Amino acid sequence: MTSPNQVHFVQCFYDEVRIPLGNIGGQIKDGWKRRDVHVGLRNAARRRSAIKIRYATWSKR
Amino acid sequence: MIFRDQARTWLRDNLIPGTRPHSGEAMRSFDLAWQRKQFEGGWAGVSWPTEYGGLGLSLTRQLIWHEEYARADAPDNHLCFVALNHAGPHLIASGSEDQKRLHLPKILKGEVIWCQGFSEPNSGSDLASLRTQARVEGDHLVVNGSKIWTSHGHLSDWQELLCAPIPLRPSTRHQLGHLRYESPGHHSCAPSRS
Repeated sequence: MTSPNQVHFVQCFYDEVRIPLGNIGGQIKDGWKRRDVHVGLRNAARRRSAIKIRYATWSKR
Repeated sequence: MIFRDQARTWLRDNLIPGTRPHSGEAMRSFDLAWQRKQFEGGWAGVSWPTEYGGLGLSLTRQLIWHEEYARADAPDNHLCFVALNHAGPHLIASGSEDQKRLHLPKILKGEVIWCQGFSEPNSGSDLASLRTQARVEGDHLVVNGSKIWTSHGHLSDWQELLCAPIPLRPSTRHQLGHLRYESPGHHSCAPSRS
């Protein structure tokens, strides 16, 4: 997926990065529940994408 | 005019001409411009509640919108995917009022790109074994670690960052923070190899 002109994925490094507590989603140590919400949202979005792809394939037949 | 006709007509009349660029700043500009155009046309956030600027469409109407979107061969604005489908809905579900006021309008208007900081070296997508750590220090989280497979991280303004709190305990639970990309100590991203 990586070429000099077409980068899709990157790696990120955090070295004593300071994030204001006001930027936390939900409560501290509540991220696991938030992750579950997140994965559900992502899967729902993927299903929508799948609908689009299936429709596009069907409509071009 | 029925809903399907409205969607079809708007898409036919408003598609941005030309091919969507496949990389770099040109792709970012294209995707943000397309998102902005949908917002100005009243078609941004089809699944978002109306109180947060979305259309609040029923599932049936969302399906019709996506069918018409595919039929029109409208661009798949990948760079806005995380903001519209993860970050925004997550903030709507559990963000503070300040976070909602700050982020939601910018997402719908096509002003910001979000990426996802979940997968890690040696953990992959097994989020239970994350090693990137965060400790509370005063009024900040202090984060150390690394994330991989961050799609379009180099083009993003904000990142959803999932960390393990320290000290680690068997019952430890994770923290989810929103990281602005120019935060001190956040190193420039290197392309991941696949």
